[in-house]
Amino acid sequence: MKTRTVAANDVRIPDPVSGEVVVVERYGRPYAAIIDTDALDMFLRMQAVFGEHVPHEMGVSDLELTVHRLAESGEDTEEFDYAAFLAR
Amino acid sequence: MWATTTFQPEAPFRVMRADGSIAVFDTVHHLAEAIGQHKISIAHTFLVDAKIRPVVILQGRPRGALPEYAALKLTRLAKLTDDGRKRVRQGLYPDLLYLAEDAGKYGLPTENAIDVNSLVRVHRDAIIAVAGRLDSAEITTLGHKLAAALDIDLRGPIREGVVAHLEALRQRD
Repeated sequence: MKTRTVAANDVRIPDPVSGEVVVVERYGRPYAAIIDTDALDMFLRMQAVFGEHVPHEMGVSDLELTVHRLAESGEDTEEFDYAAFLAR
Repeated sequence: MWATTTFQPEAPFRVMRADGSIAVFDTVHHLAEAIGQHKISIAHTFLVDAKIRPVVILQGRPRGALPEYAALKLTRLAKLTDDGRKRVRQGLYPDLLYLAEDAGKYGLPTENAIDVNSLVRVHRDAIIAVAGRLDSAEITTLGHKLAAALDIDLRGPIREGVVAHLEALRQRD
């Protein structure tokens, strides 16, 4: 990935916060993301380590992780209706 | 399908001894140590939680030769925020396949999502009943999502397929 540098005076962005990604949306969909320099450094190091084959897990979003935890824990699953099963 | 599925064994591990008593090991290394000291059999009995739940069976087994099926777990969306549910419905997440509330098709009373990271194996003896079916487009989409989630690099086979197709076209002309 190439890096394009712009002067802070030329753009208006929210202040980057360590440990946080600011996702800019357009029409309800992710359009751009703002990360702080520590996260950029980590991203570039990971890119160097993984090259083209970045493990899928790296891109799993917070919501997907929440759904996964719910699926694995069985906290939010349909209840089996035994009476309906017998009535089939 | 409705099936009974076990949760993944994780620490602390509960193991049943030959006499029926339960031993608890905080880590897998402690369990391995007990096995090494012949306190626990190598082929031991795990105690794990299980639940009857809907799963998506990923494979056909028309011969019946392979009794285990790869399957994915479903979860409802009730515990997500309104915004999260809306995004899942819009199909914004590569690891989720949204199933709308359609009892006639899916056989479930509420909307659900298939989590492609929840791969599990289900033995045919653990399957209770058919709940519903995915259509062919959904199965195709699920396959693509699953390949990505499993880090399966399909570029080589796709490239070979394209080359073979082009070569067939060239020879035909």
